[in-house]
Amino acid sequence: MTKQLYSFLVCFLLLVTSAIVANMALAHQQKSAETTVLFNQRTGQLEVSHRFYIHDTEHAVQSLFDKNADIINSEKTQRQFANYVARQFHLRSLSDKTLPISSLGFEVEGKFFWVYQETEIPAKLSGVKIFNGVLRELWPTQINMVNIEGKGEVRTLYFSENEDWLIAKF
Amino acid sequence: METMKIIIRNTIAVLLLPLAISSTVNASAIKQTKGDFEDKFRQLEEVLPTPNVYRNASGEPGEKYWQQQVDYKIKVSLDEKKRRLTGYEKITYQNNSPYKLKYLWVQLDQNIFKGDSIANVANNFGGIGRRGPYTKTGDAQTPAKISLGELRRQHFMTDNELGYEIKAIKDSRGKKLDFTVVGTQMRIDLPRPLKSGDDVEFSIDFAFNIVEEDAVSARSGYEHFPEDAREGGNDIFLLAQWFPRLHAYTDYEGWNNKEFLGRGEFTLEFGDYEVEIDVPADHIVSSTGVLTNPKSVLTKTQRQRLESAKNAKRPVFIVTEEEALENEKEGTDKRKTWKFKADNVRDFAWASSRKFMWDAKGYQQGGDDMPFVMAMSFYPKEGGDLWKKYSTESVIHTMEVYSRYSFDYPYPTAQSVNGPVGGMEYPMITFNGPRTELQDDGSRTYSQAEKRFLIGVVIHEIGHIYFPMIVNSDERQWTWMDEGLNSFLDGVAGREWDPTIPWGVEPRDITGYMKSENQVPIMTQSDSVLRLGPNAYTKPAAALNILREVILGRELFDFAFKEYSERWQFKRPTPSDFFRTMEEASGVDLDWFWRGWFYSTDHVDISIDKVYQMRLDTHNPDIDYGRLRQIEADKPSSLFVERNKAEGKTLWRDRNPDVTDFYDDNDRFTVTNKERNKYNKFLKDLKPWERKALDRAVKEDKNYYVLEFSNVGGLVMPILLELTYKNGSKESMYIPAEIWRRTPKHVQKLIVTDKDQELASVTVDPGWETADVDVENNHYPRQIIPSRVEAYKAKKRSGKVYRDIMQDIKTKLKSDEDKKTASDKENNS
Repeated sequence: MTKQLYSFLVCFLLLVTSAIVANMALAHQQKSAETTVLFNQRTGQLEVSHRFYIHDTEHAVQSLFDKNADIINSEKTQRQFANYVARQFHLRSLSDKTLPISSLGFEVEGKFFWVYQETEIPAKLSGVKIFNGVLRELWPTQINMVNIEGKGEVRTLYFSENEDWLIAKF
Repeated sequence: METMKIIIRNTIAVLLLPLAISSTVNASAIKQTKGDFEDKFRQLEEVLPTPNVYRNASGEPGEKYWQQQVDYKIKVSLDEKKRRLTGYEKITYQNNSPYKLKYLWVQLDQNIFKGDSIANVANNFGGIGRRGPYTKTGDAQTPAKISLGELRRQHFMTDNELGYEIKAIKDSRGKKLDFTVVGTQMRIDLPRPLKSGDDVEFSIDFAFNIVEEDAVSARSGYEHFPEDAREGGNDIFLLAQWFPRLHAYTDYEGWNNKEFLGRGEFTLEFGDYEVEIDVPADHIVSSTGVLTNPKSVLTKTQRQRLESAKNAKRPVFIVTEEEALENEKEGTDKRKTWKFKADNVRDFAWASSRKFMWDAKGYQQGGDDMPFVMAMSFYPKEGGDLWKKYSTESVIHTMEVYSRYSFDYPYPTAQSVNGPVGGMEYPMITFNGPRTELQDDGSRTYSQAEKRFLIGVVIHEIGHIYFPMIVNSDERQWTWMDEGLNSFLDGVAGREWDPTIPWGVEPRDITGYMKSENQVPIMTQSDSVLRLGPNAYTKPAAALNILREVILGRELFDFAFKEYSERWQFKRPTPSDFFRTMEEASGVDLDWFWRGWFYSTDHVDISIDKVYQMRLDTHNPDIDYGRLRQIEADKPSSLFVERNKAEGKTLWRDRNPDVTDFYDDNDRFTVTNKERNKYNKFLKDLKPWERKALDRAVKEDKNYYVLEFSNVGGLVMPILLELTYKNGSKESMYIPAEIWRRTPKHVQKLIVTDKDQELASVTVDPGWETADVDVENNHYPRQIIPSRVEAYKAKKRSGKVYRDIMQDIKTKLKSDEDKKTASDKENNS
């Protein structure tokens, strides 16, 4: 009982800042993001591209940063959001070694906002551990799909509410 | 004892065996057990339900099609202070089915908020696809997480008695009827069975406490505005799923008993409604239907404004912003009753608040069904200019576009209401969320994104009045039938609003999802779908887009889609009715398309593996032997021989030129009369038409290419080709999906081109029209296709769009003095 109470208190403190954005029970927003982790054998790079619906991010940024945040027109907001994504997305080897992914940039393309990252493909990688927490503390129904490509068949990890670190072995 | 056990085991084995067999049979009625051939074009015969007198084989309502009718007369009162709704409804249930009914089932959607509802008790803490605030389970190392939102939800549900209080259910003579509540459903036992063709009248007294929408993530509820000038603030009330509503009873499902779990929405029966809504006298009410007592609830000025709105160019304010602001400053104890009437609707929703301003503009639709429609919007000051400018106009734009693709908007009003719900639809009324932001200087602004969002969501929700409020598909079972069709059409309407705004669904948008693991087919019950967004919205919308633009063409698609809409207007279609109508009205066999896109999790990935060239054999030895000699000569010579040459080795032949014979002058391709005689005989034996064909082919000497394709993704699709020739010209070619019919994994296509049209390269689907997930194998010869990241890195980073103008604009203009100081500093450092 004590332990349980303790854990609730801890998280209470952890999440005090997570504002619930004015109701998102709508039939319109997708609340789903797609990430591709590509082992580009040609360049030796492990490339990460995150794709967000602008509809999803437009309200998120107002809640995450400030109410004047504008994902379409403000580069400041775009950079802030890309940095936020970088803080919420992590790669590790199966032996829990962090893969230091660096930010490449971001762009708006039609109804999508893209964020790019990369790192060198480490030698002898038999799998990856991934954490993708983007927008999930904001919205209960946010689902982040990660496709891992360039290692045979496409592998898919779904990050929704209770998912912490997920593993894909090759 | 031991013997006994064995006997039991045997019995179990015997019992289990037939079950196991029958379940395999259910899984697939047809089995291909030899080889690995899969008939991707197999007709959907055992997949679609057997046609019958209620819905026929063409996808039309059958000769004996029936549906129930349920009429409601409701009196309801809103207690603003207690946030409580009390109502009395008189229901007339008309049994048009050929069967007698001993009991009726009623939906009690408000019961989802009861602590013991299935939705709550079966709530997988932190589970996938859950509606409601964020929770996260812990493990040995990490503490479990619960968000403040989840705590707020739990507190709200503990502090408030939620769900229906059903006080009395009585028949028309006032005699109490037995009823049994089963979660979000209720069975009412009729005193005697209701015969086919008869109707029964009964009444229900009900009440419930309204949920705070923001606290529980519902589709309706109240929103509180504590900052308003009025003491205690104000509320906006959105009331939907608010009265006990009869479950659908259908020819394909009987009673649609599916517990409301929050995600799968609902389907209902059509009927006529008369609803009296009693609210505080200073409230403005927006509702399904037409106001029948305007003189009792509107001022003379308001009625005049409504009249002038009918032919106005831009929306006219019935309640202006100033009036609304004044109104929301204080309350009243007085009450008013707004009376509404709505005919042939499948549901009834309303909204009420003293915060509403109200604008209206008439839409002269023309036609016989509903020549005039009043479009209206209701919103608080928080909606601001965004709503004033675009809400009502978006409502009208939607009707203009949707009617072209389906049928005339059949109701007298179409409304958009701003409240706490992000986007939700009901007959004649929609709830839409986007708002303006209050700035420190007191002004209200909105971003470009918010503007797109408002127009987009209004189009989408008003579009839902067509699908599924009029074309009454069953959302609780097949979300895609309304969301997929509507997402397709809202893209059409959006692009007609302003094509520079990225609307709609492009085939490329869905490739990431379609190549991923762990999917379910589109044809999956709503509550079981793993990812509702891509599965019920994007994928079916992309599929319809492809069906229209690539497979059928606009003319056939639009004709068939309109036919489906007209056939099922005010009726109840199932997926098979859609599939059959689209096929029948377009005249194109689409079973392969439905099978691939709706019944499977295959994706599109067509690879061009090989191209090889062939030349016609003329049979004329004087031509063919020469060509063969040339082919031999074109081969690279032996490295061995080349190196010998390089080393200066001399040949025996060269050293002994005096020894020669016939073969030194005649190689193995030398033609003799033996071959010529054979050729002449061959020509003589040809029939005249054969001779003609050969002569022409030899003369034209065309290029023959064989293109080899493989289907990596499994989903059969047309092959869209771009052929590039050596002379630089390009040609498009369309190979129908039927090419895959007998060899679904691998096909070859022969292409014949003129002599001077030599093929240089081939590209599959160059315009990304088919949702092909891997473009790397779409080129022959193969090309290096830069990955998304590579392409991004290669882009020049100097575009003006990358300037941080917001920051840069703060830059001070430097004077000469500044420059001097700066250069001094540099010199010093």
